[in-house]
Amino acid sequence: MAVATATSPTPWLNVASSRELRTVFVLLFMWTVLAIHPETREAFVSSGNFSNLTAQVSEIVIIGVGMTLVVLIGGIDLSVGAGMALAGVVAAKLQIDGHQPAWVAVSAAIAVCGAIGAWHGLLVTRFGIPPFIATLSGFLAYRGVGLVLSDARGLSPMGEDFQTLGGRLPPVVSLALSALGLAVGTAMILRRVARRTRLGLPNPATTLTALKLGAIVVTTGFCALIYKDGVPVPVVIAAVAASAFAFILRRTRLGRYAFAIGGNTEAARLSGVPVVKVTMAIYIGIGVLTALAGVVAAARTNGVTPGNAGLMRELHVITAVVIGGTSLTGGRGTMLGTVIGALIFGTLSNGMNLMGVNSNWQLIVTGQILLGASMLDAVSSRKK
Amino acid sequence: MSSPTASPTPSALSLNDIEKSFGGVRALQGASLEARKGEILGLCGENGAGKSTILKILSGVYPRSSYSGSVKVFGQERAFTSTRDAQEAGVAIVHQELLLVPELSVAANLVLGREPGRGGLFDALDDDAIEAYARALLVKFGVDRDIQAKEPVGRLGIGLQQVVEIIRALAQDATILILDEPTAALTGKETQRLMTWLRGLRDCGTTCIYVSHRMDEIFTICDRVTVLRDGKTVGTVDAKATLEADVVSMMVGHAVGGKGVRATPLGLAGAGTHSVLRLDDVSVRLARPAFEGSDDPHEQGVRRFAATAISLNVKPGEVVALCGAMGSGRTALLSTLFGCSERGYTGGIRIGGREVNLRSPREAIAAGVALIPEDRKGRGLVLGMTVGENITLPPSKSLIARSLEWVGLVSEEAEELIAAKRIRELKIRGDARAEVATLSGGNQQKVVLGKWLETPPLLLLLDEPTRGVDVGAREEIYGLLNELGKRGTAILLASSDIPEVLRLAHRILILRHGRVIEELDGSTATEEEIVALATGATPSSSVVETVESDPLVKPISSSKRLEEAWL
Repeated sequence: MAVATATSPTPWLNVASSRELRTVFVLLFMWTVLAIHPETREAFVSSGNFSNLTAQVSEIVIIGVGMTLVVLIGGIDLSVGAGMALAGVVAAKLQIDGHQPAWVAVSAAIAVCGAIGAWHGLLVTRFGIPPFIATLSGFLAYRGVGLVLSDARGLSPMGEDFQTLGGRLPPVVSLALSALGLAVGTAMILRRVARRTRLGLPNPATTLTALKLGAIVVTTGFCALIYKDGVPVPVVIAAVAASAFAFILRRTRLGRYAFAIGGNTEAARLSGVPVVKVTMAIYIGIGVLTALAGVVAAARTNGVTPGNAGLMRELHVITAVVIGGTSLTGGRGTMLGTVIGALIFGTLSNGMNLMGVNSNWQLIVTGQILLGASMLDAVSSRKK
Repeated sequence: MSSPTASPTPSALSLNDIEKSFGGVRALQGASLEARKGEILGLCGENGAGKSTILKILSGVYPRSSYSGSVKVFGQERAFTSTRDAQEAGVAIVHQELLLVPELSVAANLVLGREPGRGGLFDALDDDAIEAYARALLVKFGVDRDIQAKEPVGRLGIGLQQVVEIIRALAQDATILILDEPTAALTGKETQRLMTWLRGLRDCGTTCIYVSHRMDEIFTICDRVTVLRDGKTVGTVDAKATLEADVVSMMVGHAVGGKGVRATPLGLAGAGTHSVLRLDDVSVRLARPAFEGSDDPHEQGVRRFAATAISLNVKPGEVVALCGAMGSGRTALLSTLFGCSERGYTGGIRIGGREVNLRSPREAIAAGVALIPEDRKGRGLVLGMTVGENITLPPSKSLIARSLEWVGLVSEEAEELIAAKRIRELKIRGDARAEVATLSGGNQQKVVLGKWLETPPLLLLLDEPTRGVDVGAREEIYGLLNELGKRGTAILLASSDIPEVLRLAHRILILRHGRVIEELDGSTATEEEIVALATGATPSSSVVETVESDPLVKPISSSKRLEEAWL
């Protein structure tokens, strides 16, 4: 027991076969192609483009991290696109007709969508309605409510305080945030190593730790570079949401229980896992995130058109989650995977736009990518 | 009739006069048992004797109000409403099915549901501390070299998963451990190690209730044995002072008069006629080897076959029964013959004299095989469809119906006609257009049979054909089987209902660990003989020899390291 060497003789292989890393490679590969390809080279590598790309993706990430938990417990939420529209309408009504400050508008949107999430949780846990049906009804109903509230008209413009949610932070602040990310990430890794040593637990190989530290330096450095003109606020919100949910998934009871429920509901129940409470919390969580995404979308476009806002978003989000390696049958998934999945999704449409691929073909290609990701998943899980 | 010797050891767990009914059926009617501190008490009984009902009462599945009698833990009366309740009282139950979450690590599984902290959902979890705790536990139980705390549980073999499950139960300061068929999925060596390990626990003062229908295990490990029959405690005996045969006859309880009522022989077991079914050396791979998940070359000789080297003949009209405990391979064999073996099979199968390769149920059906599966509601019927739709579900043999099917059409009129005919023949009490879910168990089973009667199958596979079927319908089903036999259908029957086997079968094959260890004549076999052979009790020396020379029993070995650690 004393010197438990690395658990496997080939740690490198283990790392390379981890699916998170595989998706990272896919993303880097796509970026490399776009950066080299003569048609896209110039436009793609400009920091403005990257900044735009991440801002576009942020809505998907914000909802996606919540969707990851939902899918993890074997559920699904089809109502998020409609929820975004409703959240936007609620916020816009309060801003435009009620002359309320942004924080009131945002809180109201969160309250409405949180309640919607709780309602879904209730339908699923207490009434035994399949999540697909419970949220499909919302998919239809909430956009309808938004249209009724707004008399089916576009609402704009939003107040100035609200518009900052779709704007950029000053360059100094974004630089500071990058530095903060670097500091926190490094501290967490080093603290973990120290703790494990203190507890007498085996640490991963030093090269791996060094590699992780390197990855953090590169990522934060990259962020500092592409956001040198200021980081978009949606990106900050997405980053905070992703970090918070990654923490919830990996380091809290809730996340642990989500894995347990998705992996073996019966075992979880008999182990004393409060299945109902966890399910409710997760649906409320995705409701809150939907509201955030809806508000961000409204701020970015400085208004809401309830017929279009968040249209097809639920499918984009589920695509990102699946590309990120979360199993639709539950029990397996990661937040990093979802973030990468969203970036892959965003890069696809960004790249195809730059290449001048028309939008019809974009749909076809995106569909094939989704299929490919699932097939890869099916093949690798069969091998196991 | 508890043991006369007044024991100084206090009772750890006692059940007194428990009665529990489901609707009109009385599952328990005066069941009592008493486990003393620091002993291993065996609990045995045939299927339906009430073992699982007792376990469910102890794990709080049935609320206090639904049964009468008392449950006492160390003299204090308790009523459990959940497994957690029981755990808090110090009673840990390890279920037959593994209740682990495969994607979570061993450490996370060991603390699942009782992670350190205040219990709030958003509490941060200290993974490192949990891992350290898990490692300490693994060291304490001597398995730290075989099980890594960080490893996902799903990557461990079944044997080690069972170990994790038991450690999890014991980690919660349980003093009373209840094991339900703990060896059902284990290999011989794993079983032995478990036994040794359990004795160690007992010597440290843990009370253990060992539920099993394997007589050999009960007698290897238990100090005393409580026998249940028909929901009543028949008695408790000292394991050392009692013969296995006595316990078997307590289980069987001889009201049945040896043989049960035997129907007239079905059809002919005619000499000279060709075989309908002929198996030559058929082996069926297990879906996953019984001890998997390690790349360790020492773990060779793992049990890889659900059924090994089975050769048998079934003649037209003959009924051959397969008897054996869970995991003996009888269900695997039946599934294979219906083209459902997950990992394929080796050896030759001839049906109706033709060599066949059964890769899917469609091929099996085309070869003339029909299956009445064990799980009627899950696999036998489409519950939401009508009686008529269910009956006409299998591919039809009639030319018109088949050509309609070929272009993807179904003829409702033809369906109804066939269904109505079948309903008459089978005396099904229900309309062709009634949803099959609304029928009683017996009538549902007749519908399952009816699916296959358009042209009598060459070979009919029956898996527990009368489980949950009332006596009247059971007689009717026996009558139908008789009828089929007369028309030349060969029947392969897997049943744990011994009187049923004795009543129907011309020949009885006893399976153990996937091999046929004995063939009995249906007209001379006795219930005790079958139970003893199937459970591994030792009624006659000849059988002991067969078992010990069985090459499969020995090679079932696995991690040497684990053994050392445990011993």
